[in-house]
Amino acid sequence: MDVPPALLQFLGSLVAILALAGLAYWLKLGPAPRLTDETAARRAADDAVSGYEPVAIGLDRDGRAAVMRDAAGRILLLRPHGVHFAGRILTAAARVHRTDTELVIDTAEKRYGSVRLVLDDPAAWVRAIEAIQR
Amino acid sequence: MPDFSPTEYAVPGFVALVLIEMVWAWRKRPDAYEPKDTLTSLAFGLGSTVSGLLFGGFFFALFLWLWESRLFDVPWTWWAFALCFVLDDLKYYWVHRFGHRVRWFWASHVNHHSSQHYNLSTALRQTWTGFLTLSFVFALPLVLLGFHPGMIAICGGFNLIYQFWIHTEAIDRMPRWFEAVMNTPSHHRVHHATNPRYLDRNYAGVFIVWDKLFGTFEPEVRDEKIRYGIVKQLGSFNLLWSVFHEWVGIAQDMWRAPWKHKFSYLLREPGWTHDGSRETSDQIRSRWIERAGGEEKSVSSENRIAGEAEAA
Repeated sequence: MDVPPALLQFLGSLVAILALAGLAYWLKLGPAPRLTDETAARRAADDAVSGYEPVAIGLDRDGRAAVMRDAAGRILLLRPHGVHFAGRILTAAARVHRTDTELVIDTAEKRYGSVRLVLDDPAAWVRAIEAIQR
Repeated sequence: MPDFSPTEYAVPGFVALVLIEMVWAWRKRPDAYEPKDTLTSLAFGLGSTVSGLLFGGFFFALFLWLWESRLFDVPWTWWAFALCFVLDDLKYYWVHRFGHRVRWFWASHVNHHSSQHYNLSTALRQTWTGFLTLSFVFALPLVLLGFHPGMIAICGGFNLIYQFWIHTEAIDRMPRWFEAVMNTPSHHRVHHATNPRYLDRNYAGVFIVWDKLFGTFEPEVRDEKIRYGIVKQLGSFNLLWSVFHEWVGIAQDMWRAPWKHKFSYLLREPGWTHDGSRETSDQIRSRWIERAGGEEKSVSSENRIAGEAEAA
């Protein structure tokens, strides 16, 4: 069977890119990020939304995510995306619910998804998020 | 006309340099790479070659047809190649500037910027949807002047090859004389940054002189940590979403907008909204300047796509 050269080239390139990504994985490149304290959370917030200054911060106990509120009442959610954090200002479409140990915030944005946080005062954040739904 | 595609020959070199940079990252900066990001970026590159194969022929045929109406007969000589390279780079600057300042063009170009990493795999993160924009129009002056479309394509290929190595954090600064004239890793880090000071700056391909000439140059500041990506980070490694998200956004905005604002969502700068619900790069920069309480030189107000002039 004669394989067209262009197809051979495509398949060879596909193998190469899978190999390179596999090498990055094997070398353990891309450590998971952590928000170690509120200072780190503030920095990540400004990275996500330039000028965002939180007046309240809910930091996940493992530093894997954070939820925060600014003086204007905007609620910013941060979650890991690779080695960085990606943030979203919650809209009225956001939903929140509590389990025994976790707060689960759904941004209603399919590709961003839901975020789970273990917080010291989850009830306060439930109220804050429900307030923006009204 | 020589049958020669520079970028095809450069691919093994690209792979080798990515490998070298990964070893550098493993030893010095493990956070410089991330496997899923790398796979997405490289998949973009592979897909872009398919897109180029599928649609590039049409534009090349169009250029060949228009070349028949050329003003001059430009010969296949070394000086013609050199002149073509410089003019093609000037063309690149303007295509690239439109790519950031007109949302229709941005919808294609955003793909190259949507990684939050800045490494050599990012260099290969190329759009699949360039054929949906009017970028080809910018090459028409060169074609009508008399440069053969094949010569323009070869120069364009070398232009892209040059830009590969500047997509790295592994190189700090080049010698001053080099930084003064050429595009470099430092200049291009600024271009990929989302720090307010760096938004919509340094559009150069090969020669940074165009940015200095047209007022869009910004030097890299040493004590400011750069963050890469786009203003609203993707937050997803899904390849198809990464390719089409801005096109989807344009369609949704145009559908929802009042009739008198619909086309503004296609033709105005990214981030523009009729109700102020999002921000443009200029607005983000203005707010940052207010917060910083400092001065910022403005991009020349003589050019429409530069954005509004800012008070000194």
